[in-house]
Amino acid sequence: MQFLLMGIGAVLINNIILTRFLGICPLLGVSKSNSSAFGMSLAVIFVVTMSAILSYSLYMYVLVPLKIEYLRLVSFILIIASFVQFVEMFLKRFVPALYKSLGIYLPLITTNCVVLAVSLDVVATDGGVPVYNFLNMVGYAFFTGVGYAVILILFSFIQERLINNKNMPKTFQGSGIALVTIGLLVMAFLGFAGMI
Amino acid sequence: MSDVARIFVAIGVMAILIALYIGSYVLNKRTKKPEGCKDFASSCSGCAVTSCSHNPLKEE
Repeated sequence: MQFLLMGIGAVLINNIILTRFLGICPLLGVSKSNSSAFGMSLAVIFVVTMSAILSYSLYMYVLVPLKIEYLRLVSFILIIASFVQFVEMFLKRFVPALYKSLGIYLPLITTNCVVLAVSLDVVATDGGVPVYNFLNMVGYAFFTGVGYAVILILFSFIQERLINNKNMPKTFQGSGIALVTIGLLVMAFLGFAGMI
Repeated sequence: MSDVARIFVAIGVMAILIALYIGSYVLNKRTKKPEGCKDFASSCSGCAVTSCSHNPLKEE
């Protein structure tokens, strides 16, 4: 039940794109076609979950015991970048079909700030006590990735219609109307506030 | 642990992480792409990240 609530919260109520406006750059860039959005979504869910696990483990078992927590930002960046390189290498070597379907989206994830934001979120403390235990942390990271994927796929359907709209005023074309549409999506999703 | 020792530990941890990244980057570069994956860059329609090596604007 707790995970169900966490999932609803991360996807509908506290969606990381709509409430914090993170990961907008890939959202605008990759949402031009449904297939690209789907590939990117799968890659984001996997990388967000795995990099959160790695970052959490590094923080709790290395940085905190050594009292060098202040290195968390730079060490998380390095961990995420290294992890993406390893995953790409593994897929190239052992799962070429998956590598082919994820294509260029895997290395692009390194620039997605959602990955870093989730890694920083999962090591948050409240009065010196960690907010998440290991299981909750995995759930939070996974559902945040799912929330990102839902919005990305949803927005890709809207983007296809926006791109094909011949009556769009020139000043609104491209990123202009895309950002206005995201703003409308934010307001629509505000309707879920207070659901849990 | 003294403050000086902690600084050296921090430098050591960072050195390990940087070495990990460089190692993974080099290994990834050396791994050959599977058949049919050589032309990913041409399939990229481009996003706002103009510094990306796959972005078509980079080749212009």
